[in-house]
Amino acid sequence: MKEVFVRGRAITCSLGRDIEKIVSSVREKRVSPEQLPLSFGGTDYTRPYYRIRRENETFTDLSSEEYFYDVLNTTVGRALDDAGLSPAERKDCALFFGSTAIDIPLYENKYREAGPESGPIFSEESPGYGKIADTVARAFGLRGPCFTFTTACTSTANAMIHAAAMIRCGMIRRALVAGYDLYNDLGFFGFESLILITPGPYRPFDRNRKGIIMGEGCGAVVLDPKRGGSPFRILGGANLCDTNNVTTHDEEGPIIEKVIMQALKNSGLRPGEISAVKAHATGTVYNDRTEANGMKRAFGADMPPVTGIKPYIGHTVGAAGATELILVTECAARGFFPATPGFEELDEELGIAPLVEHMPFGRGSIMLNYFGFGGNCTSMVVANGD
Amino acid sequence: MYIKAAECFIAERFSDPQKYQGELKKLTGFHLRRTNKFIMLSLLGAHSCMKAGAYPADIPVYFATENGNLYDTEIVLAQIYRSHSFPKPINFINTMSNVAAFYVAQSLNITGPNIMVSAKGLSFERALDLARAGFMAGTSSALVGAVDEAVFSGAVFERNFGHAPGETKLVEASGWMHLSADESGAIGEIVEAASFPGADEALEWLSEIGGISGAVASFGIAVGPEERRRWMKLLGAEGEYDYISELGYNDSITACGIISFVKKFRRGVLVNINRDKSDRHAVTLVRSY
Repeated sequence: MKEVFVRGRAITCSLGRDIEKIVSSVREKRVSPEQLPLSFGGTDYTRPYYRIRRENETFTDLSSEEYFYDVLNTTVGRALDDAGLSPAERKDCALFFGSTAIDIPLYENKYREAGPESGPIFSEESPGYGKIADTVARAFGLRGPCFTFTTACTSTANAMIHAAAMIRCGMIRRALVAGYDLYNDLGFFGFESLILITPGPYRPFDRNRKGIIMGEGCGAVVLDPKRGGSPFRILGGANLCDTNNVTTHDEEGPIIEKVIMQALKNSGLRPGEISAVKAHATGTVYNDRTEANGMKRAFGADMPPVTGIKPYIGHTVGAAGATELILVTECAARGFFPATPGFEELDEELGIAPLVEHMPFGRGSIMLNYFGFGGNCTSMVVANGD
Repeated sequence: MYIKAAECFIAERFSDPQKYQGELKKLTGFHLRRTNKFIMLSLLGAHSCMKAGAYPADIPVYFATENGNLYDTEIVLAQIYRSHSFPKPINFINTMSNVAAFYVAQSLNITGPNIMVSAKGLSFERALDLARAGFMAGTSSALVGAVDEAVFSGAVFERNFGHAPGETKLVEASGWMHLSADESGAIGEIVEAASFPGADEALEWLSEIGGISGAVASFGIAVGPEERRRWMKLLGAEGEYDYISELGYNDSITACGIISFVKKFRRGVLVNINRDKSDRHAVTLVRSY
């Protein structure tokens, strides 16, 4: 069975795009969402949001198509460069793209500018979900098959485990996996309409947690049987559907337990062999409770150290599979597993106290969990040791 | 991958959603509230396919779509930009197209993997790729489908494909296959589902696997008349099955084309050749029993 390494990686998020600086910010627990207005909703208040920060930003219109593709293409380009792929290797590279909003940010300006009587724009003009992956593949000469995964917050995590599985079974040689969600009114206003956004602070698993803070981000990794700069490899993963409800999982966590156990089995590990868990940890009352129940059922007395890292970069929704993987593995590669900033008070009902201080990390296996609308549950295991 | 069951639901463009409600009630007994056309289309196809057969509760669902649920996305954008109000929660949730895959799973009591996948011009073929990877990893079955509304105006369709409006019937369609590693009771087989960076590689592969005697060829919409003639000659195909002329077109009609062949032609072999606009090719070799 082929091993699947993270041969190249790049990220663009609210902490910037320089991995060394991003890791330093995490080490210092620097957290800096900004306030965005909800004025289009006929209201006059703000909610926190983690916007992408890029040094020497030249774009003034952050909702333009040029900016959309610049963020994506520069991130993908850096990941490919980091992997050091030869032209022949690039040609033989598949592309797995994950997103929740897909191309919606490209159309919101048109709706803003169109009069109130204008007809449908998105459904007439959008070239379909696959267009972005196709555009990226053309830009970088990737000739392998293109896949676009759209399973809400698990999109890129699912892209990652399926890309790794296809490499393992020899269907493809290597894959670029990119996760991308840029700010869009539809998502920001939509989450607010569900009363899921906290005014802040962001505190997953805390007794006083009040919800999500969203963020935009782009993460790209090159998965390959050949090792690159990252010591991490994908051991395995699993995906299941909790049919309890379209927005919430079964509160007792049976499917979360099952997906964790399947991911462990597919990775050839037992619960006690997981060194640490990056929880999905959205910070909503219900989701954290459900996730905690699922983890307790799966790990029992072997509960590993747990963290929630969304307070660093926000909930990057469909991109989280890549952004959170990069954040966690790059910190771990530099000797620490990141703590959960903002956590203060234990919620006895959850019975899970996430790390409040960074944990030294040498070698081991990390579980990364992602859960989303549509009952989607995904668990993935990465490791940097033997 | 053996085809245990396969069904399509195809309707005229702009069909009344009430009609779908009625059909769904008749088929499943469900009366869904707060739903939309994309979800109903998905359920109509998937339930038609799975109504007779037994399947494991952990069967994976690979759901292909080119455009997803556009109806609720338009509604939510109108709520924000025209009514200057917050989206209604149900409309917002439905903008995430995988919600349709969720309802397919929930209504069929399936808790296995649930993946919605898309690829420009090759969405159904990519869903088959995911199913094949699952089978190679030891999965014994999969429910694979493709669903799309007829979204384009005639002018957009002409711009995209060079077909004059009216020349091709635009339809809404939902085509589903129950695939299994077990041959018993199968109605056909996906013998190969292969992807290539270009036509030359596809051709080389077809040469390597040898002549496909008695095969019928079919083509995706992006494969032009001259290319079709060339492929027909190279394959030595006995004829062409033009499922787009027969069934109509939407962006993931390939699923219904293949399903229609399996159900219509007994003991036949179909070579479906499709490509995207970047010239990636996908060849699906299908045998009907």
